[in-house]
Amino acid sequence: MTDKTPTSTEEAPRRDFMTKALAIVVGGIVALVPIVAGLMTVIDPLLRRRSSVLGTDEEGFLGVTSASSLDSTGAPRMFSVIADLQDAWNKFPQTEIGSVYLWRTDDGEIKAFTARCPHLGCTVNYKANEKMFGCPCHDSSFNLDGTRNNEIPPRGMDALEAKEVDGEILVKFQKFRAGIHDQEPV
Amino acid sequence: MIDSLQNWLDHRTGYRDLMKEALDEPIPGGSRWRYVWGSTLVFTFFVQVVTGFVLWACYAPSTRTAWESVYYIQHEMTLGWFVRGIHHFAAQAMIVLLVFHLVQVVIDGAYRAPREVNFWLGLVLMQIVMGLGLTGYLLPWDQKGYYATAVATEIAGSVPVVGPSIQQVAQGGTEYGHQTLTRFFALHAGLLPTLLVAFLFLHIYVFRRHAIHVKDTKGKPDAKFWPDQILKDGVACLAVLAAVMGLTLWKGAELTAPANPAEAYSAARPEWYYLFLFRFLKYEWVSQAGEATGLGEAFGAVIIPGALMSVLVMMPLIAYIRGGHKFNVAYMWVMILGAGALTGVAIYEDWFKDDAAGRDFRAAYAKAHRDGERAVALSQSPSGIPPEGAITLLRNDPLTQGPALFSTYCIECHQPASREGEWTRTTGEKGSEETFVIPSTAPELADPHHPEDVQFGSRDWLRSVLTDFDGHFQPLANITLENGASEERAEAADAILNGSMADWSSSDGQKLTAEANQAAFDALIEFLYAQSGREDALTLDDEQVLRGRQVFETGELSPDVAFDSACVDCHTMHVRGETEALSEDGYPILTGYGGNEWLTKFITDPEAHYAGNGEGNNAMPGFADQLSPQQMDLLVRWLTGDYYQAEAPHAE
Repeated sequence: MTDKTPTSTEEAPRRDFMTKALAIVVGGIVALVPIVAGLMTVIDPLLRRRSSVLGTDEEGFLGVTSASSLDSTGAPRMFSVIADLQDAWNKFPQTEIGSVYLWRTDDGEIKAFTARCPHLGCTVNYKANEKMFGCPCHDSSFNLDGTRNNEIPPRGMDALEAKEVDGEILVKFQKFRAGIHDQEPV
Repeated sequence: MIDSLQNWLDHRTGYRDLMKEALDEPIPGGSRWRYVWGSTLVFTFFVQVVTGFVLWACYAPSTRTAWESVYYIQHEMTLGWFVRGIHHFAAQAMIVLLVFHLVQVVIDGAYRAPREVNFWLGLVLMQIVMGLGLTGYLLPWDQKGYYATAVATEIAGSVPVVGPSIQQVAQGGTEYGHQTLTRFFALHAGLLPTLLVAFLFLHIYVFRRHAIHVKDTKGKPDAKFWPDQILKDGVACLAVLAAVMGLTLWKGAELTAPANPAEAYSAARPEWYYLFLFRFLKYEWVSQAGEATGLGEAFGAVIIPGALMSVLVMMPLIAYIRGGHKFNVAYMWVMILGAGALTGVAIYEDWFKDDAAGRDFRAAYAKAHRDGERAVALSQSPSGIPPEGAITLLRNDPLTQGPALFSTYCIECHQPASREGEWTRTTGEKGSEETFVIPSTAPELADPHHPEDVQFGSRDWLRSVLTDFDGHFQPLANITLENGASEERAEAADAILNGSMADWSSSDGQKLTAEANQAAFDALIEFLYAQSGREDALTLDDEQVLRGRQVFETGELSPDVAFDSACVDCHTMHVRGETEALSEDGYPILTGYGGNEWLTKFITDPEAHYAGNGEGNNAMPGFADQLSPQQMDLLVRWLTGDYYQAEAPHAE
């Protein structure tokens, strides 16, 4: 609001000023109440952290596949990560929450990478003939050990903690911020 | 610096002229409170746009997500209850303000030439606002909105010739479903607000063209819209906002149970501002007139309101006739008084009138409220809302379904004491029927109106059976030939009332009531109650339970007092988890008494489980072929208290 408008009550400028000030205050209040309350609801995801993946163990590990399924080739294979998911109001039992690359190296170590590209979050493909990971979106490319093969992505592929318990491969499935150099969980 | 920036902007946009045009509107005779109504309406619309956008950002229109997302807004999201409450009550405030605005315009004669067109634009806006109210009411997809809106679309469908087509297009099919919500939502958040903005623009444009209608300046000096009138408008808006917020804090926007087409909603009522029409349609003569004219329900619901509305539309033209304005003012007051009176009658009949219909409505309303709270409690329970939607929560909930099943299958015999006489049977030829009150013929178990207090199997129930068997089973005395019972059942009932347990209760049972034996009595009750395995029962190795077990086995209450015959002498008892039974071959079987398994077997075939096929006495029919296994499970688990119970009510 501007008070450039000429006043018709120049003989009482003080009263006029008070009226204007009051009008602006009252107008401000009635406009701000719904806007501020609405904004609070919209930014609810920032105000309340809700765990969405359910059924992990205390350290956050989830069963992904059987140990025997890693035996055959020694090359990375993609596995769906299935877990109970709390999605806003719904509880989805055993549903897809993401995917990981898993394989066992020649010296028996289990390797686990999230399939999400650290560049901008597309799903990375494994190119068996080149023995490399490549992202279909912006051509990010990664070596088998997860290191960058070109400088399009800001960091290497995000390794996940994995372990073998009673013939089952458990993975600590996490999501990391894309597009930045450091690995930072979301 | 600021000046030159403003000059730069003004040179390119001419905003100063626009501001001047907007703010310097002259008001002859100065600012007045009676001019605020239009501004409060613009303000409430602004509130609706802001809160509506927020709700839109959180709402999912489908039959399996609408209630669920609204529940999430209301009970989980930050200030969601507040935003929804504001939206809910501001919508109603808009209707009230519309009426005020209209009354103001008609009384002042502000609809007269040259403002006729603007009056009509205002009436169009009124229709749009009412449309917004109607479409918005359905969106939560709760019982209340579902059944109220169903009436509205049926009314649309009753219109001759085009009605059914309109109804099906609006609903997205012949039945309510996903497409009803997507369509209503598109209307509510898309088309109607857009139309409202367009017509509001025209309304204000034409209003400014003719300037404010001043009836009488009373010799006061002129003023401008800014700041005098704006301050008054602002204060009025503040009052509206305060009222809306007050209602939000006090009442809040209700969310009843998820819509269920299979479950009658006897508390179905439209939003209060349609109550007059609702009440009008309840008059039999309205329906008769509809039939006589061949117009059906459309006569009362569409033709009559349409005709009354047409007079409103004609007002600017009627005013040309001498005395026309007076007629218009009188007509408006008659309409308002008529609608007000009908609304009053509707409210009185539902909430205050002490007749069967009023009581039924209030009971149905209380049940709807309970179901709504239960649906929310279950949604907040650890199992949460499954992908199939919240409707399954109540469908699989013993506390909700148990009382309904009980009312269908059990209540005529097991009448709640407070409601005896409600069940009647009519016999005889047509024209000379006689109505009999059906007497209660079995012990009172529970009252579906108070589903959380079940008597059956409780500690008090056990005490009563042991010490007051006659009183407890007194209703069985009504199983007589005169009351239409079979000879077999009448004999069985008589045998129960005069049987060995009745004798035991009046002799041995009385020993339990002696003050000296109270500890033993309590222990026996705990032992029996523990058999049910209910959540609030003591464990079987609890000291008190073990003491009770001793009484049950030996009949010794104290070193000097003992039962003449102990419980094990007549009853089968096999304590849970033990290989050897305390006693066998006695009826009724008390193994697991009052628990899920015992009760399921009992209801399935009481003659076998209770009476050992002729060993004991039983007067109850079996329900194996009437209840499905799932129904049996729900009924039994309600009676035994085996259902989810919220620990503490969740804060809003």
